[in-house]
Amino acid sequence: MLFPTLTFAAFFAVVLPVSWWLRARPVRWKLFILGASYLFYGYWNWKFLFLLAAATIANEVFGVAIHRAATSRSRHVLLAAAVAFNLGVLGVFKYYRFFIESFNDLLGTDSAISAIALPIGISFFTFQALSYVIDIARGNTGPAPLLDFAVYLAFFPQLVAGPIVRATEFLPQVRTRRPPDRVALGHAAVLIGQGVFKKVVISSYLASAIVDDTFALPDQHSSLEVLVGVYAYAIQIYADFSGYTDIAIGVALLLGFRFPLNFDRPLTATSLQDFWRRWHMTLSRWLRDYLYFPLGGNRKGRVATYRNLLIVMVLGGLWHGAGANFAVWGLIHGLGLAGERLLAAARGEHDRPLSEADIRIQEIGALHSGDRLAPWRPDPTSPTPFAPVQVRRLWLGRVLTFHFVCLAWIPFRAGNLPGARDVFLRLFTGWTDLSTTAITPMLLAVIAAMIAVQLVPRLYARQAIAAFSRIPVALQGAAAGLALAASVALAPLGVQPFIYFQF
Amino acid sequence: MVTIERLRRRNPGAKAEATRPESYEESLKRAVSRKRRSTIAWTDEHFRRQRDDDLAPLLVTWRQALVAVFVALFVALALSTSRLVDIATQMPLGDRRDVALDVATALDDAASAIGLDRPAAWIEELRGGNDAGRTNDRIDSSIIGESLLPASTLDPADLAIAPPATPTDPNNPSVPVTTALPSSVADVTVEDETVEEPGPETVTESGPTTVPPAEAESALRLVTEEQPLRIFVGGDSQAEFLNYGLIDRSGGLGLPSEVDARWQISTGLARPDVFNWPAELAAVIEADDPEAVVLFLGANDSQDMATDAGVAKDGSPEWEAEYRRRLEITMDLLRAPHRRVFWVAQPPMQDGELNQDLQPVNAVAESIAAERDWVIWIDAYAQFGGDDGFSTYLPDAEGNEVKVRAGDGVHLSQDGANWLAESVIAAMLDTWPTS
Repeated sequence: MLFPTLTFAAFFAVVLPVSWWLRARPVRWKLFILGASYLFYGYWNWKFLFLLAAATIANEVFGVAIHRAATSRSRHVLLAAAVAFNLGVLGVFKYYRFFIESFNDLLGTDSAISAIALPIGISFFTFQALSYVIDIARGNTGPAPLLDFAVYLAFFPQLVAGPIVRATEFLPQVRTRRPPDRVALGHAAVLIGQGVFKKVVISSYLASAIVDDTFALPDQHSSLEVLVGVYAYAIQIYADFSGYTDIAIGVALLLGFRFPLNFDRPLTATSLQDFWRRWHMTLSRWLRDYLYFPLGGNRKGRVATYRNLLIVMVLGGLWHGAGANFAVWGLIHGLGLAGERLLAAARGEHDRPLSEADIRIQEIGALHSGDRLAPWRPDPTSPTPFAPVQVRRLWLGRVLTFHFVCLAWIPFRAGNLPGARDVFLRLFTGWTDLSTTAITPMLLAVIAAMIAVQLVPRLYARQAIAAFSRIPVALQGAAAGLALAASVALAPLGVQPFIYFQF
Repeated sequence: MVTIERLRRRNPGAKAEATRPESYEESLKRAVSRKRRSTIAWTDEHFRRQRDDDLAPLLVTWRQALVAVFVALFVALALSTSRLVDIATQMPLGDRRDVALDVATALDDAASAIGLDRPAAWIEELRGGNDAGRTNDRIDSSIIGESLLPASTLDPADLAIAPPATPTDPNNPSVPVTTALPSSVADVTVEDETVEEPGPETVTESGPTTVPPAEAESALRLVTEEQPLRIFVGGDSQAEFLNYGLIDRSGGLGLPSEVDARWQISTGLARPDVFNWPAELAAVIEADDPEAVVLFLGANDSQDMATDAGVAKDGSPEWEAEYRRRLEITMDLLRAPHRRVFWVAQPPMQDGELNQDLQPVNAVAESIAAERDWVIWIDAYAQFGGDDGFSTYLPDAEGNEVKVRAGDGVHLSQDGANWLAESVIAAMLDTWPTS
């Protein structure tokens, strides 16, 4: 089931009231929401329900065993087994081909390779399961009852494309009755309305207006068109992915659940480090907490820090798919992050460990709390928010970061390295004839608008949502309905499939 | 979020505490305690504190939220009833579709009566102005599953097809095809395809007819850089990548060409009520007179079809007869002395059932193509694995494994489509002399 479809609308119109109606009977509620989630998932391919159920049971067994382990050593052995199991499942379905092929290349053998279908959302629920067993091993949580854990892994709003919610965030919400008088309707309406519009209208428009053409046939386009195509892809993938997770967060809010935010205006990032605190934030923090920190983070010296960044980013790239292009995408980001630190150190700036405030992710609830602007972003509430030096640095950082990120998207979108090379080279070899039919005023307006919207300070966006939340409930609903209808009317023919499903 | 190790460093007392396994309930309590709040990204306790100050006025009860959701769905549906009709139209033929279509049509009529259809119509008009038309239906190569597209926006009146523009050869019958939409949208009896009979070699509805050789070889001109071959690519979503492949590869392989294309997601010959390919092709011939028509259709055709005699069930003899008739009409209307049709087979599919379902589609199309010397069969089924089955990767000429299929197990990857395009171009080079 896809969010922006009539089928989902009908599904949710039933699930929402029944879910609230059952809130006083926790076991029934859990069984119901589990059944609904399995229906949601099985609607695409029921066979993979067995995989989801098997992953649930296996991780629960691991969780309990790890919790009961008498010694630290046995706990570590069990944890290693759990991690191996989860990565094994991921490997069989996602990386099997990649490994066999690399193995064949290495040994000159020719093992037979058969195709295995990729279950939707496997990367997301596997990572959630890993966070659960690791958190138990670390003592951050005890093992939840099987039913609670099954709901956590299968909860339909986040099942197929995140956000990657941690066990410690989600399980307390399953365990306690959702407060029936505390539904953040206004925020949910805004998230769902904007999410559908981004996903169905903006992303689809950019794909058909320029991105598909320029990436398929770079040599048939001028450098300028390819450049705009690359910019457009950066915005397309943002609109597509953030749109989908906005809907997921909004739907969860209506059910009384709070998910962490997944995107925080990433096009305005002032550095790569900043970008990764704003882009797919739940994956970034997963990689940070379960990979970067265990590797030693930045506490083992500068060289080790650079090495860790590279490892984390390359693996983060491979999380998206088994392909050299994804590894290269991660490598570019890893090199960029290491380069930033190197540069900061060379300039004598304090290469400090991340502070607690820096690394804490923006949560949904923070919308209504005090602003949490990073230290060197301008503070719009200050009487002199923009010191000239800061502003220059801010904009230089934004422009450089945006272009670096766009550059890294080329292999990501091109699908393979020769294709990426063609697109990249075309950026430099086609500046003689700049006549264009692909770059239209509408296209430029959409790109500019998407960037401009992100430059609105978070504080103002919050105030707007707060103001919206105060208008009568029926009007909030009507406004959301108008946004949905506009999206339907403006959508290109056919709902575009979601880019991040493949991951 | 900080790791437990970091917490322990800050709070040495925590270490002793952590050695005893903590129960689930204890861990939940700890998770929501104020003291550890900073270690938990979100908790109810945090939320409760928020509510106490500024949050309360912004929250509603679940009943209010439910009201808002239903208002939103009602408003969205009321303003999008024409899309509802489109969605119902595309459903597989059968009782469910009939009911859905009846309901959708009734809603649409009611909405139109009070003018609720105007905003959508106005937006549609605006979109039409900016719409590139042939490039509007792009999909990403990495999709999973096909999405449906709303019904053709062609007016029923547009579906009456004019005869091919210049039937120069007296032996080449013009084949006007009148493909009418059902008189009522709820009526499933579709497709009244009548064929005029100007001569003895007319293609009739009564099964396959031996069609005489079409044209002399000499009708095929010399293709030069100055006068490149005019190619048209049509089909479902698969045609998009083939189109790119043809543009990309033809120059390098020595075939000067101009490629035009039209693809519509989830279409084929089975459902002219959704998209009418014969009508579209007739319009293309009239407007652009392409010399090479490449058609990549059929992946969506394994479904029930409406015929004069009722619904022909997928896989039945009636289905085969009807599909044969539609293929004949489509291939025959493209016939001209200077034109050749390149009909592309469906490659093997990852899903065994779908692969099986598409065998008749390929078999019927191949047999009809074989009866017509202006139709060249491009055997993508064999090229992409044939009876060995689906393969995501296939070796190229140098023996390197290339990913030729998209992750969905249905579509070709761009590399795969380029490879297929090379086969099509080779067939074209065999057909047309080049300078």
